[in-house]
Amino acid sequence: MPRRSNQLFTKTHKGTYRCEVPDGFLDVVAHVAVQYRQELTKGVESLMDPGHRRLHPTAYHDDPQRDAEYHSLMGDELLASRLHALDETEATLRSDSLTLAQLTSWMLTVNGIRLLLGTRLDVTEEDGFEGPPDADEATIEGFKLYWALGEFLEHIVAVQLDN
Amino acid sequence: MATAPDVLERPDTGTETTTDRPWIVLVWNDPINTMSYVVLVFRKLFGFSMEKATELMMDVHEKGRAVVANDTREKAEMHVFRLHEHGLWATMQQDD
Repeated sequence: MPRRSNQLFTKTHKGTYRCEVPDGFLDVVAHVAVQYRQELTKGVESLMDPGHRRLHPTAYHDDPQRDAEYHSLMGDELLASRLHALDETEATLRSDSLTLAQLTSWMLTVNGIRLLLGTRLDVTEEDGFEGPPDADEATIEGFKLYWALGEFLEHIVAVQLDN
Repeated sequence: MATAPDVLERPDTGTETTTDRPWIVLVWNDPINTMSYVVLVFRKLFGFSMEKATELMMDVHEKGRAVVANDTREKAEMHVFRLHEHGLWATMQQDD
């Protein structure tokens, strides 16, 4: 299969993934990863934050009691899983070769950041690159980051779907 | 002494049919997760073919939701957890 000219990840014959992500973009990911960790570790405050609702998704939408049980049992495990993916992403961010598990951690971290950012921006399917027409400067910058992370995520997904 | 009935009738507790009914796992449409990401997650977690994963993703996108699994409560809960780990909006309920 011909290699796409703008491909950021390539699967090698060893089953690992070669990374050719520009340093400037990795700097951006490193920066937002630090902010993501701060958000993840807010504890109880996180549960009260409407911007975090996608981090604590409902499991039983028609049964609040079972949903509360689910969150008390699985909430910590879900957080631990996100933090593990984030740890692995930060530890390998400057690597030029990743295992599938490491690439998956990158994917989960980038997607988690997009969930948080997209919820805060109240993204809709109709929103364009700069958000709604009346968006202020900070919102426009937020949307640009959201779309850039989305494009990056597409590269991580594409290399896995290609194989 | 009372005569034993020919057929024992179980008391109607109203719970048997509830516990016997399978649980379904639903994935709901959301404006954040991309189509290709959802396809990949379906393939990774459920082993669906590309065609099946794409069909389910399109159901989510166009109809607002899709049933991706049908299982016991414990297994359905594990599916939901794995989908939540991947950032998808998944819920579970007993099948009608």
